[in-house]
Formats: sequence, structure tokens, C-alpha cells
Amino acid sequence: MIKLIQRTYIIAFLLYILLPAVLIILLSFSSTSYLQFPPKSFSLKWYNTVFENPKWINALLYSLKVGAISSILSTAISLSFVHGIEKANKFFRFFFLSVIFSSILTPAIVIGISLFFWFSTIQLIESPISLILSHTLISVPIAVWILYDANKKISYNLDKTSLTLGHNHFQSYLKVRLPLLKYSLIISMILTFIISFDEPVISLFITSTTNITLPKAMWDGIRYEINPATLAVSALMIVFTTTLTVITILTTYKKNRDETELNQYR
Amino acid sequence: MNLFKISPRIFLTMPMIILFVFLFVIPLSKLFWISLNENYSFSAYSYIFSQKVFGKVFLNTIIISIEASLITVVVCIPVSYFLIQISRKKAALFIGFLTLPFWMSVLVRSFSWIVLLQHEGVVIKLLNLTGFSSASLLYTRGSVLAGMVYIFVPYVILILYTSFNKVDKNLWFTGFSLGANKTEVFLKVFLPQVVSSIFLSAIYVFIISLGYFITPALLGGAKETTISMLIDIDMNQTLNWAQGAAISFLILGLILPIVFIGAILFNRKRFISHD
Repeated sequence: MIKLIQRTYIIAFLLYILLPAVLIILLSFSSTSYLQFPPKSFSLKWYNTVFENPKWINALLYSLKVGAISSILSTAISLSFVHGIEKANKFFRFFFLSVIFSSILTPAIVIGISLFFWFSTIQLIESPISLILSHTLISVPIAVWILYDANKKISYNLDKTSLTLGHNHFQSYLKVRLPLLKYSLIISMILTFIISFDEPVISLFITSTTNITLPKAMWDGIRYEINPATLAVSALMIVFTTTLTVITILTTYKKNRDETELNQYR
Repeated sequence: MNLFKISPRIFLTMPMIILFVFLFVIPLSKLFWISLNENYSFSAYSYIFSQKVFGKVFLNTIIISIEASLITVVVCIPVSYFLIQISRKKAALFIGFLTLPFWMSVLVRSFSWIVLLQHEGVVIKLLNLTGFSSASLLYTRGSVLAGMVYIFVPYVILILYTSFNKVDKNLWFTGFSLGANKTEVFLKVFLPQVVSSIFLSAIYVFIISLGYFITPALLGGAKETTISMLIDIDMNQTLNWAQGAAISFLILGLILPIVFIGAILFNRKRFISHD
């Protein structure tokens, strides 16, 4: 009896988690002009309107660009940072990490308006640099979290071995430590990319007049007129982020397999 | 290790320090300066404290946040508990499904609740079938909570599952062999070990919801105004920048003590210890 209740609860829970996304994808193929359930007939009408409208395409391209640059930037900065503090004493490590993680707890809207005023003061608000840097700021904590954990798991004995075998510090880093961090770097780049690609709040305040990001375009679409074109964009975003998440999960499996192998040499 | 012995490695942190100084510390200081009307005047703050409507919105936000964190945690505890009982492979698969919406855009997830709850939507149709009738479910406290809980659930499950998993399973058998039944072991052995992470996840959700913007703005009506929506109105409609900045610092003032209490109560050294 208890088992049955448990089962039902879990299944209900999974449905609760997954159904909204499935529903969006289903309704995006609807052919009527309002959000009708169940849809009467299916068509690709709304996908056509999306792909024919340069507003959506430009927003998509802009988001991809900003996301790619900021993910590389934040992963690079975080990697450098993780190596910077790995041998520092407890006090420094605690201080740096708590400052970085405190930025997660600062509401996005507060970060957004503070950056808006700051970039207006230094007259960078119209440039894509402002958005890239803002996205770097908010995605840095997750990159640090991933890379710090991964780096901690790689034993220094490996570096020492490579040094005794005649590498200098630079070679030993490039040939031993960096390859072992490979999967974590990939995961970090994908996740920071998703953070930037999905970021809705900061983009509301830091937008130039010429370029808007995809979430900002969606926000306008949802807030001012709910039309099925927004639904099609949402469906595309769901498919896109889900693909990236699946890649991340597969990479995590590979990384875990590597780590268990490494543990033999601890 | 000596506190003053600094290795050249520390210079690798420079890019991060520059990033945080220029994009976090200075902008927030600038925002504070704006909240003082750039003139050491506390008029924005005193205006907020003198008007009843701000108090109402703050209270409303705090209540919504408490409700959201309680509901999320209560929903998630049984799921996490279930996850530690099944095999690791199954649990990994389940968590995989769970992380799919975790990385989906907050905007898309809130939008999906608009689609679900609108007057032509699934939920109303189902309610009509079962005999209840309701004009609209959207733009109510309930819709805001539904959307927020939906967004926080994956975070909380991940936190709880990790901590539930750390509890030694042999303790159950120890408890049984000492004569306790299942409920007693759960309450007296299992729960005390995970209660801190339950609190922690509740506090986490509470803090995040205090400043949450997208979901309340899309799913709540004018009746369910939250602090973050006030900031948006000040910034985009009334252009009362000092007031928007002052409200931001009041949110931070609410969040900061809670973070400190959380950090002190449950000082978890996950990131500090190097084994």
C-alpha cells in the first residue's frame, strides 16, 4: 500500500516536471491563432512566421554570439582563478569563494540595474561588450564550482611524476593536468553558455537599441502579446537546451569514468 | 601554512578580481550612491518607510517567499527519500530527467505555466470536466506559487538527494537491531542528520524568491506585486532611479542577515577543506 502511494507520487511528480515542456512543444504545432487546447489541427505555420521574421533571427544570432564569447571568457577566468587559489591558505580560499558565491544570492534584478547605471556612466551601454561582461559575471560561479571540484580531485602526485620524468612546470601542466580537466572544461563551457543564452533579467536592462537577445525578444512577446510565434520560439529553446543538457550529462558520465580510473593512482 | 607567505600563483586570480571589482563591487557602490540621490540624502529611504504601500509589498513578497520555500521543500523531501532507496542507476536516470527542466530558460518555464493556466488552457478544461468551474487561474497567488515551485524543485531535489545519500545506510539496521521500528529510526536517526540540509535548501529558496522577478511579473497580476516588480516600475516607468536603487538595497538588507545566519548555523566546509 505504501509502495503504491510512493509510486503514484513519483509518477505524478515526473509528469509535473516534464509535462509543461511537452505541452509547449505540442501546442507550438497548432494551426489556430490562439492558444487552444487540445489543438484542432497541426501545422508548421508558427515556425514559418518565426523564421521569416528577421527580429527573431537577429535576436537568436545575437544571443548565440554573446553566449559563446561569455562562456569562453568565464571558463578561462574561472580556470585561472581555480589554479590561483588551489594552494592558497584557507583564509584566502574562503574569502574569495564566498565573495564569488555571494553573487549568486544577489538578485538578478539588482545586479541588472547596478550594471545598467555603471555601464551608462562609462558609456559602454550600447556596446555588446557590456552584455558579454555581465553574463560573464553571473556565469562565473558555476564555472568555478565545476572546475574547483574537478581540479581538487586530480592528485598532485601526477604533476610530481611528470616533473621527475623531465617536464618543466609548463609542460607538465599542458600535458598532464589540462587533459585531465578536459571534460570539466567542456561541461563548464556548455553550462555557462546556457546561462548566458537563457538569461532574461539582466538583458532587460542592458540592451542596446539595435540588438536584443532572444530572451528579451521573448519577454516582449509574452508580456505585450501572447502569440503562438512565442510558443514556437519556446519550443525551439526547449529542444536546444535539452540537447545541450543531454550532451552535458553524457560528458559527466565520461568524466566520472575517468575519475574512477584516476583514483587508482591517488 | 603561513598567512603571509604568498606564492606567485595568487596572481592567477587577478582576472577574477578585476571582473568582480569592476562589475560587482563598483556597480553596487554606484547604485548605493544613486540611492542616496548622489548627495548623502536618505530621502528615498525615508519616503519608502513613510508610505504604507511599500510595507505591504515587502510583506507580500516575504509571505510568497516563505510559502514557495515551504511548498518546494515539502514536495521534494519524499522524492529525494525515494531516490536513495532505489538503485543508483535508476536514481541517476531520474535525476537526468530532473535536470532537463533545470537548465531550461526560466522565461520558457514561466511561460509554460501561462499556457497551462490560461482560460483556454489544460487545467481549466480538466476542472470543467470534473465539474468545477473557474474563470481564470492566472494572475493569482496560486499561479505565482505554481510557477516558482516549478522552477525551484530541481535545485532542492539536488541538494536534498546529495545530503540524504550521505547518511550511512547501516544506521538503519543498527536502529532496527536496537529495537526501533521504521518510523522511529526515520525520526530519531535519519532526520537529525539531514535536517540541516533541509533548512539550508528552504533558506536558499527563500532568499532566491525574495528577489525573483520573471515569474512573479509574468504569472502574478497587479494584486501580487513583489519587491522586484517595484524596482522594474521605478526603472522603466516612473524613472524614479533613487527609489529603485533604495529598494534594491532594502532587498539586499533583507537577504544579507539571512545568509549570515545560514552560514553560521550550518557552517559547511565543502569548499574550504582540501580533504
